[in-house]
Amino acid sequence: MSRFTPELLAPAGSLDKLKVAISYGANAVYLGGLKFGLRSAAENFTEEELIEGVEFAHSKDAKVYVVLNGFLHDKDLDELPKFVKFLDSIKIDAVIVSDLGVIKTVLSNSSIPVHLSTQASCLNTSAAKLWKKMGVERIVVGRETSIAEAGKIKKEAGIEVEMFVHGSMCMAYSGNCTISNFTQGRDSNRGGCAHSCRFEYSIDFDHLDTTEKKSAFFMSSTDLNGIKVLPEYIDAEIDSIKVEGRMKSHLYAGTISKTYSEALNYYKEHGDFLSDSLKNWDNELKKVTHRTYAQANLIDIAGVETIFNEREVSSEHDYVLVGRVIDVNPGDSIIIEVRNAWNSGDELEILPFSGETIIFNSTEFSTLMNEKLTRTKPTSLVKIPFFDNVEINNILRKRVAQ
Amino acid sequence: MKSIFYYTDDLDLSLFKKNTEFIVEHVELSRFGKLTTKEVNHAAARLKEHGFKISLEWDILMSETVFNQKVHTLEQIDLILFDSIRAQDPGAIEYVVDKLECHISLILETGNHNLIGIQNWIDHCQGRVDRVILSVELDKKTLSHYSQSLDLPIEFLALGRILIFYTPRNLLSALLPEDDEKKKVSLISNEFLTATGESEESPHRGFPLVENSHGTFMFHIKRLNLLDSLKDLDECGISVVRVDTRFEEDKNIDLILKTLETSDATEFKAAYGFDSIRGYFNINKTDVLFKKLKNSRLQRKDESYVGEVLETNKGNYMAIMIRKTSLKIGDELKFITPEGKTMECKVYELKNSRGEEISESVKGELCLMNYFGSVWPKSQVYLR
Repeated sequence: MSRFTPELLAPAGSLDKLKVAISYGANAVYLGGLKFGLRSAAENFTEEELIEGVEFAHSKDAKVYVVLNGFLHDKDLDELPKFVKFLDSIKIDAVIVSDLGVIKTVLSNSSIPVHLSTQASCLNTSAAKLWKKMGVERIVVGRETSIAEAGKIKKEAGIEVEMFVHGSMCMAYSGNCTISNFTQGRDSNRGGCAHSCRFEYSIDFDHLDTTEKKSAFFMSSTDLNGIKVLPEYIDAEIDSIKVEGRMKSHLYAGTISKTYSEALNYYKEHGDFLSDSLKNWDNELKKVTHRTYAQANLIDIAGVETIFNEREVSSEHDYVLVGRVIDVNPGDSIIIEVRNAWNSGDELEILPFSGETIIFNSTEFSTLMNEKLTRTKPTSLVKIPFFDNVEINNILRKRVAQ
Repeated sequence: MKSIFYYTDDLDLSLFKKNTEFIVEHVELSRFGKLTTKEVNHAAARLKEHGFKISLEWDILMSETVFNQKVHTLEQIDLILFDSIRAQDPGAIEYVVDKLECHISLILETGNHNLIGIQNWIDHCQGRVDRVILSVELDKKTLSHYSQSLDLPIEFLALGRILIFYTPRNLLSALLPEDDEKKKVSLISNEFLTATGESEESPHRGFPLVENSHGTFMFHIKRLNLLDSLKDLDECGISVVRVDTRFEEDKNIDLILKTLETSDATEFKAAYGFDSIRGYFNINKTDVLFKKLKNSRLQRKDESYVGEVLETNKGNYMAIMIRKTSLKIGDELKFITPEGKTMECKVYELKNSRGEEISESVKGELCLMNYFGSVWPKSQVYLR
């Protein structure tokens, strides 16, 4: 019996990450071209990479959504039709847009479905009805929306609803923060966000003596983790659950895609979740770098526990990415592109696209010229012994000494 | 050019010209409103008696649950007294268009930096829009273009705080102990909790902060002040200038009105006690730094693109991941390093990752070619 589960939508900051996310089970990815999005510092995709990305995704029955979610100015719109026509020609599956001018430009230059970005802060049924009239087929609801509210919006507005399930969170209503614009001269709503909300501030309350200033990262949000409330997403018939993080690592793209995908597949097969399984998946999600996890507004209104009052460097992670499989010689060797060094004897884990994690002590590894090594170094390629079920784009990780 | 002010009970209405407009803010509908329903109805009646045009501000953003509560509040207000409702949340805009009969003033201050979008907002409201309120991020050249293209009055902030952050969360009270008296009062009444914030990023000191029942707000450290540019604003086609003195103890109303009358801001500027800026009125260049945010040399340019160098082993080989065009013995290559240097060399030795000699490597394969000095990992490889 096939049960409803939401689409799993993963971030793809680069072509490699697109392949990683889809190979690990994402049903769709979202990505940016070189312009018009909100991540100017990300690698993003050239047109050739977009073509290759779409071909790869469609060959795996996955969808590709392209973000055009900047608050674009007139001069940007002059350049947009050409890019939109290109996107239409390569058969992307949707664009994610936040600005009405962009929506109308897309609709008048292509037949690409339009999804409304969370940047537009669509928070209620009345707003969703308006956007539907504007030609939008799917709403990515604002992060202030609960799952129950999102389900209600879907039913009452008669529109597809996508909702964040995992990753970093804006503290502000998305699209309503211009700190970077006025302090750094970088338009946060056209890709220049300087993450000023993650800085420490000294707060001087008007009703207190100045000696009682409070130093705090008071505008920094904890990260979202919705694995334990997946049943609620399913019950509310949310069409797509979205993972934040186009700037994040291959380990993140792979781990998150694999974990949520396994959970959704489990539900599809069994029709329920076991609490032990949810706990195990939750443990997996702790293996990627993250701020303290919370459920934000998913169930209840976000409270004090959703303020991440710590400096970024103290982000929590149990594991680091040590490398990515870039070539497999069956029966002989596996070639790893090293991202973080490891030593002989270290316990490493390979995450296959499906099935159990392969855990091994790394005692035998060498250069591509078969020179034995006792320690790897980042940006090098090393050869390790062959294991079954390992494929190109699998990721390797190592537990961080606690 | 008309002016619009925020209404407060202490304003001497006799000072204002008859064509002045007022914004009335309800505690539950407006971000910084303090008036109850009864007080809003009373304020509107008082302003009406003086013959002023009045707008009700409904500018908060609303989740589904909050929206339904606020609609109930709206139903209690004597809307017939108001000439228009000012709204930003598309849900509020849709509600006004669908369920009410009054005019709507579209708050398009967040984003909305293109004419196509602005015109479509207006079109959607089916002739009900009485003005558009545009973003302070727009420069005068753009404003001028818009005023010539739109068949509606444009309102623009001329004096007041610049809002740069808005969240529904309570971020200030979270920093105070439970027994803080001010915190206790602010959480049960609508008394604002106020503070200033100093970022660790020097020189950004003194951000005004406000927490109330709608969340937490942060403003720019300086006020926007364009009162010395009223002629420019007029020439740009701005029909209504907004004056926001809500957060000032000394509102300098008489001097502001004199400035609006004479377009001479000298006296006002001397009396105004705050640092001010002109924002982006002259020019907005907030996208020029983008090209510095990433190394464009690492971006693949697809004509003749081969792939990327993943590793160099001095004197032995360069490992290349073939991403597009295949690589053959005899090919002449160009490498662009992350530092932007260009190197050229010929392929005379090619192996696969098993170390076996090959004559060609194709897309998706890893190959090793003869070493060439000064080429680094991440260098992009092209056919010459």
